Amino acid sequence: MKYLLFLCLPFLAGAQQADALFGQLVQKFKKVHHYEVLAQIKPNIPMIRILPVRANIQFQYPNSYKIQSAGISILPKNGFSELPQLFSKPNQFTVIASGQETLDGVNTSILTLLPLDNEGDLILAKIWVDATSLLVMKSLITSKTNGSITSTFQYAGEKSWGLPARMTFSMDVKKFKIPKGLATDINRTSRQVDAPQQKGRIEITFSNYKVNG
Amino acid sequence: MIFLYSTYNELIKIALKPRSYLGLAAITGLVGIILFALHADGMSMISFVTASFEQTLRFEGEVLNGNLVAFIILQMLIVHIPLLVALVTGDLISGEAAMGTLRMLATKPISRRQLLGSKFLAGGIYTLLIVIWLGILAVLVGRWIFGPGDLMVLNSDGLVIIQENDVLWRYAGAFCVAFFALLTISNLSICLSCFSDNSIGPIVSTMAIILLFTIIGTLDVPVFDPIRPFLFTTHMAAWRSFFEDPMPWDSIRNSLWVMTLHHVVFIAVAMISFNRKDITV
Repeated sequence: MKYLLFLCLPFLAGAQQADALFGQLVQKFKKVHHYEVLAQIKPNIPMIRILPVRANIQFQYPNSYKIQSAGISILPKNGFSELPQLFSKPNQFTVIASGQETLDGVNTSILTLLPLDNEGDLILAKIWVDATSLLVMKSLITSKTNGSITSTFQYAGEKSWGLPARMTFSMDVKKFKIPKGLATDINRTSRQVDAPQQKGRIEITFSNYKVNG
Repeated sequence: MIFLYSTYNELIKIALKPRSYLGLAAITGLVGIILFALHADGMSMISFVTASFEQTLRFEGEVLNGNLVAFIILQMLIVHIPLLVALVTGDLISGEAAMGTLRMLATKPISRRQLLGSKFLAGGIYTLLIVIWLGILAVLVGRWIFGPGDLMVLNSDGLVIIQENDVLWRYAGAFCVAFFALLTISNLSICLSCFSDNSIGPIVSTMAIILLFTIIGTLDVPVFDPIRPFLFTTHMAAWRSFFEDPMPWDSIRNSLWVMTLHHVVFIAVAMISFNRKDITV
């Protein structure tokens, strides 16, 4: 029994470290009560042609987002508002340390968040955290309905609040199908109905943050 | 000068026929129904189109706006407008032949070529009025009710989202091409009208030709591949090209050339036939 406990010690220590790191992230997240930011949304998605759009994004703690854009803008269904949701309900997840990885020269700790409730849409979330500056560098959100979306974060002036200067989402677009009969281009007799498996990217650049102002 | 007077007379004749207003009334009614339906339940229709994309993405902003409504109206109605055009233009010669007024018309000091030319011009002006009325109802009324916004268009290549400040000139171009396509119908029906002495024949024949060509054009059978590019019905949807990105100028130019060729053929055949037409019986 003693030997078993001895063998389990590193895992228990790892779990405690993961919990502590996640707890620190949550505390940092709680400092931001609300913010307003200008965003430039630049989608690069196969089968969708759209120019970059400017939008105004307002956030209210814990996880309320209001996005106003002059025209139509495209955002990923998952990944944009999910992270604040995870941080606002820290007791609803089991945090597991899943190793270390270096991203763009930054050493990150990987945390896997498993929801305690199996009925929800979220299957698991994985976040890559720079433990020294307490910043999320990358996230992978997997849900039942929307599959997986990977987000990467770059930071500049609002590092202290944990707010990114740029977010890049990448997603699988193999599921996009053009409904037959709706896209009737008479000039084209043969048309490609199913898109080949490709990755789509949405890049959001943030500027003019007004935090807790 | 006499050509212009003759054209004016033709326009008056068109204006005095009740059937001329049938097209305008039908467009008004149909657009009214579409506007009401989209206002009541437009978002469910949009969701049906974007459902595949919305599994992974979400669209922010007013997707259902006046520009999209105008596009939907155009797409729905441009197929039916040829009938409304042919209803009036198909009657321009044969109607007069049936009533016996063609003989009286030919006694005027105007050549048959000029007389027929004035009928082609009057038919073209009527077609233009139909297109302008459709434009007013679709774009102006649509934008008035639903407000402006970016235009989301579903093509066979995927979704194209055109920014609002880039939309109106595209509509202007699209309506010009749509008018040019409908002018083909007008010229075809007048051409057929030269061969007939009753009103119904040219109208039904025009619609039969459109139906036949459309079916040949849409049947994805290789045997029709060589002739498909030369059918005017293949190019009647060329207006849609204005809503692609990048814009296929070569395709638009090609469509205009093919339709111009049809105009020339229809007018030439009509001229030859009308010059030889026995109007004494």
